[in-house]
Amino acid sequence: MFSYEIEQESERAKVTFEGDLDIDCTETIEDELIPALTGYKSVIIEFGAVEFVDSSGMGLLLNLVQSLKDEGVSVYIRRVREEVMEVFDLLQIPEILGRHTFVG
Amino acid sequence: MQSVVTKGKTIQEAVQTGVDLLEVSKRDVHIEILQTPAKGFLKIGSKQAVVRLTMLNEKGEPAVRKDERPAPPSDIHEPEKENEEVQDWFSQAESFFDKVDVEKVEQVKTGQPSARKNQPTSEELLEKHGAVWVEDGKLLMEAGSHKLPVVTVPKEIKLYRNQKLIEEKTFILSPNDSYRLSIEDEIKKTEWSITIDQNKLKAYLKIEPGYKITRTILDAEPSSHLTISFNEQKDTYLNVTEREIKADMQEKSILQNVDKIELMRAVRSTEPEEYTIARGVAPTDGKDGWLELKVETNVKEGMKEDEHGKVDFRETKVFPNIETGDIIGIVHPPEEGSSGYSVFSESLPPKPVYPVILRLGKGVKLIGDKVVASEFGRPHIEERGQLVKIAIMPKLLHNGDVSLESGNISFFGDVEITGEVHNGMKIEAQGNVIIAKNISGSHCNATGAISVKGNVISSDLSAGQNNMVTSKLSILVGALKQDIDRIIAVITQLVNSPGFKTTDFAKGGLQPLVRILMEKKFSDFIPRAKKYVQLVKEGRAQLDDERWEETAEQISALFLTLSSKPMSLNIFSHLSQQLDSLEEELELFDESKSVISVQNVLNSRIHAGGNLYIQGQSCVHSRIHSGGYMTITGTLRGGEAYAEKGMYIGETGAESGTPTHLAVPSNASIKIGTALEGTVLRIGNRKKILTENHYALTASINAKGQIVLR
Repeated sequence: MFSYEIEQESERAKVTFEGDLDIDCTETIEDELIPALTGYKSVIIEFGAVEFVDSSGMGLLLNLVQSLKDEGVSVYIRRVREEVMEVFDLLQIPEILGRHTFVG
Repeated sequence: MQSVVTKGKTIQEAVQTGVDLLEVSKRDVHIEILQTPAKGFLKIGSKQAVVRLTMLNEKGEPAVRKDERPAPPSDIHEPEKENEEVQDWFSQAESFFDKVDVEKVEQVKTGQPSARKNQPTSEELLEKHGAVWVEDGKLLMEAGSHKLPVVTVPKEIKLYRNQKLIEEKTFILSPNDSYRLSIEDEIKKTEWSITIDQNKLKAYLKIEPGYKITRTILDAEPSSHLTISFNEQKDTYLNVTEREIKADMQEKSILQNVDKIELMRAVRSTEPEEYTIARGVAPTDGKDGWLELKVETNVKEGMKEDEHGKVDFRETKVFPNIETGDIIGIVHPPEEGSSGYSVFSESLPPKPVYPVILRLGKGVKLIGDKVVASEFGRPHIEERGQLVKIAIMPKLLHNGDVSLESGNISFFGDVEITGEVHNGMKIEAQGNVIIAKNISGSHCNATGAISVKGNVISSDLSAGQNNMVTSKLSILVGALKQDIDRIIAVITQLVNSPGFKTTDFAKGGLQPLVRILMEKKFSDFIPRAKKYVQLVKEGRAQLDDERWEETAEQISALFLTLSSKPMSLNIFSHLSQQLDSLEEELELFDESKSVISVQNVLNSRIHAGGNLYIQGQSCVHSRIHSGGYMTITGTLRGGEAYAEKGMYIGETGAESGTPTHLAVPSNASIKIGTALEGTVLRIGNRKKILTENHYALTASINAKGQIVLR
């Protein structure tokens, strides 16, 4: 099961993801997260507790980051697990979102 | 002083020091070696020889000095007594035997060299020197009064003293001990092995027969120094049986096709040899299926005499034609080969044979095993490997001129125009074009050959694949196939990644994934796919195979529209296969058939995939190109000419000085009947401008890379 938690600190927010980012998260991300995070100046996504992704999940992540960026929010993804990063690299997701989006 | 311990570099040195100290001779002392010398490296670890010398008395005990010692008894009837005295001397001698000269010892011992001068009989000598002999294989000896017998033993014979093996080759026998000789027989077992050749068609038995050497010690007459000799007899020793070999064969499962005679010969073999003990049978290969052609399909080139023996220079090409109902060819099925079998009795299948893969195009039917024309036209056959493509090229006969009245001609098949082609017209043909009269100010494109029986004036002629849709497609098809194969590889890799879940494949197929892939990794794919679809749409008329369109439809459904149909990897592999066969299709195209032959040329551009013939009097101010050999019987004035395989031109250049450029690759040559000054020759990347007129000129590149004129 996927869950998230938002910690806010003035204009910055930290979202911690937990569980698998997959097709079942569609509503959570599109209907809840995107509206909830729009308005901050910067958002950090803690990715360390995400063990698996599927292609829909990656599509959602791309959508999330790009939607927020379109609203002028700078987004950073942190602590991506090695196995997950391997998948991201294979699909050149860092190239799509910009390398600087991924931080240690 | 009864005993002394001395040192020296060698035992002799130590002993010498000892006897000097004791003032006695060597034979009066008992020598005990306490430490043998050892050589070290740069003296490190080196050891000196240390000996203890003890004075001997008569009974072998240290007691008296040399001068007090009684003379040794000479009574040979009591050898034991004498031996007592000698024995200890003997053991001393043994210690540094190698250095002791037996003869010298004898002299020292006897101390009576005069005895020799008496010319004693041999028996007397034996008495004196002792004797050793061999009788019935036994070593017997008699000690001499002055000397002990010596025996030399070859390495095959073992000599035991008191049951202890003597290592030395030459040995002095002492009378009190018991001696025994022994000799051993030598047996080498038969060695054999079974090997199978690479094709499993032969089993070899390699046999190296064993032998037995029986040795007997030869009896020998008494002598004071005896070298024992022996007799040797070598016999073949075959200790391998057919049964053993058969058991091994069974283990290796060589059960049938055994050559029993060879096997029998093998076990009786006395020389090392290899026998073929089992043979399989190699499979006989069959024959692939083939198409036997019953009609002429190639365009004939060259001059032809008519029944009056005249040559019509305008009729240099013959396009084959066939009527409806003509049998084009007969399909022969593949002939299967027959199986063989290995030495293991496994069946060895023959190489597989393949049938002809017929791809029948328009106007062709397969009736039974016969390929029959169902339309009138020109047979068009392309072969590659087992793939044969047959179609009848329909022929359009256009009676009269091509002008604004008739409109442009675009035809899938051959086109024959009996009149002229007027200004501004366009002719396109998927096949050959024949124009009976002149063509002026127009375009003519054909995938096959173009034959203009009149002149070419201010026109563009192109024969072959160039400028055609197919040449553009061939590049695209290759790139698309590569992309698809890489996409398949990435997806496969992804599915095997530990961090990747395939849960959504069941719901939405590969679409979400493909969308991400297209975003960056394969960002070139969509534009390529679009271009392919567009080109196929445009060139529909020229693409005779439906698979071009099928593929285009599939590509646009998969990638260019928002489809909800789930995608699977199978669809990708199928697409890859389809693109592959389309690529093959394009490669089938043979440019060399795209020949152009015309009369005179003026201010035109000609591009022939194959050979180019200009048979009229001149070719003026034109750009002409041939993928094959270019032949201009008349004059080439001005313009540019390039031919891939070389050219012959009757006359080049112009008196007016208009430059005329001729070019061929570095491996081809240019031949010119009359080359006027100012003609520019280019061969490979070398260029030469003729400064004078040349006749019967051949220009080519020599080994140094320079243009040579002959």
